[in-house]
Amino acid sequence: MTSYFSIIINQVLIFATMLGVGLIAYRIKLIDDKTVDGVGKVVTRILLPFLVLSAVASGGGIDVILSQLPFFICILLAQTEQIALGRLTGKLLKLKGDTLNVHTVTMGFSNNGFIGYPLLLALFPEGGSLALAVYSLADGLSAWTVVPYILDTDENKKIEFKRLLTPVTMGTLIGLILLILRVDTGNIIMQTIKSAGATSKYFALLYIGADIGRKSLKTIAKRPVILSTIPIKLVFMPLVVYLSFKWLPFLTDIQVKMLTVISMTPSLVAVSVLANEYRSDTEYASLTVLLTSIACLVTMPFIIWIISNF
Amino acid sequence: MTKEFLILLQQMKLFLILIIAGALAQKLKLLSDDDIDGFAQVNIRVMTPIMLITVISQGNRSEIGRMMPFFLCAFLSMSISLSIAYLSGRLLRLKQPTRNIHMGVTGLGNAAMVGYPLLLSIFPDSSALAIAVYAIADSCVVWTAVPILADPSGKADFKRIINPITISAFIGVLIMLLDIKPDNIVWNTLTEFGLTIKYACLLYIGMDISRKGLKKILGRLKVLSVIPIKLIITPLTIFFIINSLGVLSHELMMMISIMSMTPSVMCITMVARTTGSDDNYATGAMITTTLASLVTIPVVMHFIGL
Repeated sequence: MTSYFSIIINQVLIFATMLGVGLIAYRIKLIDDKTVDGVGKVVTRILLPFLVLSAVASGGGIDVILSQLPFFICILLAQTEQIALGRLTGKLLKLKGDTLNVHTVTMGFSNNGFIGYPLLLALFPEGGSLALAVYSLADGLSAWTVVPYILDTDENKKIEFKRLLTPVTMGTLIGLILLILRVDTGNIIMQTIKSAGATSKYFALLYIGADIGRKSLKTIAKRPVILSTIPIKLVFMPLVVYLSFKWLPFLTDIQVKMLTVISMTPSLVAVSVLANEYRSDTEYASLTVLLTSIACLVTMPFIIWIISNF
Repeated sequence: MTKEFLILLQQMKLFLILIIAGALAQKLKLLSDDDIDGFAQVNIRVMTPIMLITVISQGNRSEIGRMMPFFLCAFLSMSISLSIAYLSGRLLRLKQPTRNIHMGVTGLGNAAMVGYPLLLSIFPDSSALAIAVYAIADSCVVWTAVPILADPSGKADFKRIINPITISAFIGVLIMLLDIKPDNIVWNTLTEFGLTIKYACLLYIGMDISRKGLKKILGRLKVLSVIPIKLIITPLTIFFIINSLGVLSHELMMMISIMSMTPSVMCITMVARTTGSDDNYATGAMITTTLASLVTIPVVMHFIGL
């Protein structure tokens, strides 16, 4: 586990560097809002689907993927647990209405694509790719149905399954088809897709850094309750996930650690976009994403240290 | 076949795949025009400068004196290229403002998005200083020529010579001269990020080609003349003239040849559009030379002995 700690420190320094590049580039006006939005969309609509597609396609065979079914179910259970805890902590904080809903999803869903997957690949070079494939399936199912459903302010709201058709889920699907067809992943096309997908880490972090640069932290003074999201999302959630799944006999130690690693990442960036779309509490959403994205640089090594020693 | 030529072939395949991926993303409407423009900005204003600083600073300062002939040859190469472009515009009896645009797209290459990534891939250990020197020469020529050629009443825009690319080239050279060799995770992260530039640039080129479409070429078949002039005649002329001078090593000669056969510079299409010049011709030349260069670069390089 000591090696995990040194890897996470390295990763945090890489994250901080790229966040700094994005932040500085925005602040010295090298890039503007149009550029930041463009980079965000290139990541979510091209690079991340490439990353997921190549991870799934090189999953090792459909039997290997099927053997991950318990892990797949536990990912969904871990997400359910975090959504429930998000709701509970929101009620304890006496949040109501849209704010409670936003709090629930920002606490319940993590930034897998931008931070979680690169961490999985760095911390677990052996099984990280397979875990990423399983995660992308589970996350694709839950995040794009549950998050819009909870944030929707319409009284007659219902689950919109068409939202499942995102570039990332399409990438997962194509990857699965290639896996089933046993397509060789060593050819230049798949290698180029893999290499292009691997650049998503840099662009995602640059995007988050620039996004931090364009948002103001001043509003936090008016809504100090938002500060509570840091310990809840970044410390409480991963520790609860670790302690509750640690005892399950059908999960390996590595898989429990993977669940913990994903749950210790900051809140899902897409929540602030969806909150805006549904006219929910956008301010709470964007500030939570902002704060957890900054604070995770400190809390992630702390969580790794905790689970290494206890 | 030499190792370098095989790398070049591999790079051309990779370029083609990324261009197709970018074009598909645009056709599937995954990105709007604003998103594509925004992505281009991050490539030019953030990625390229970081790549230049980190790559150039790896160079050896004792070799900087050796680069003076290369620096002069870079200017000579661009002068030959512009001269051929001017003459061919006359021979093709193009009228203004098309003739000036023809001169720009035939005389100036896409160094940042195609040339530097190619040099880094083929000559990873020795291209740092060459890129630094070429970047400075290229910015001087491009930002003197483009405003004049793209705008009939235009003047050289010397202010634009000071841009993120030239500033970063100077910073890189400064770090190299001070013999600072950073080796820490921050620097290494920036280096790795800079080296991913080819993926971003080629995806962007694919998106840009796709949104501009091939219709602009079909309506202006004369634009196809740019392909043999820019991608075959010009690089061969430059190779034979500079090689006959005998001032460059084989490796530097190959580098300057590669830079001379890159597709048309992209910025002229934007400047031509804002000045009301013949931006259709510029766009058509940019698209055709970018696609054709995937074939002509390996063929010409093989011919001249890479």
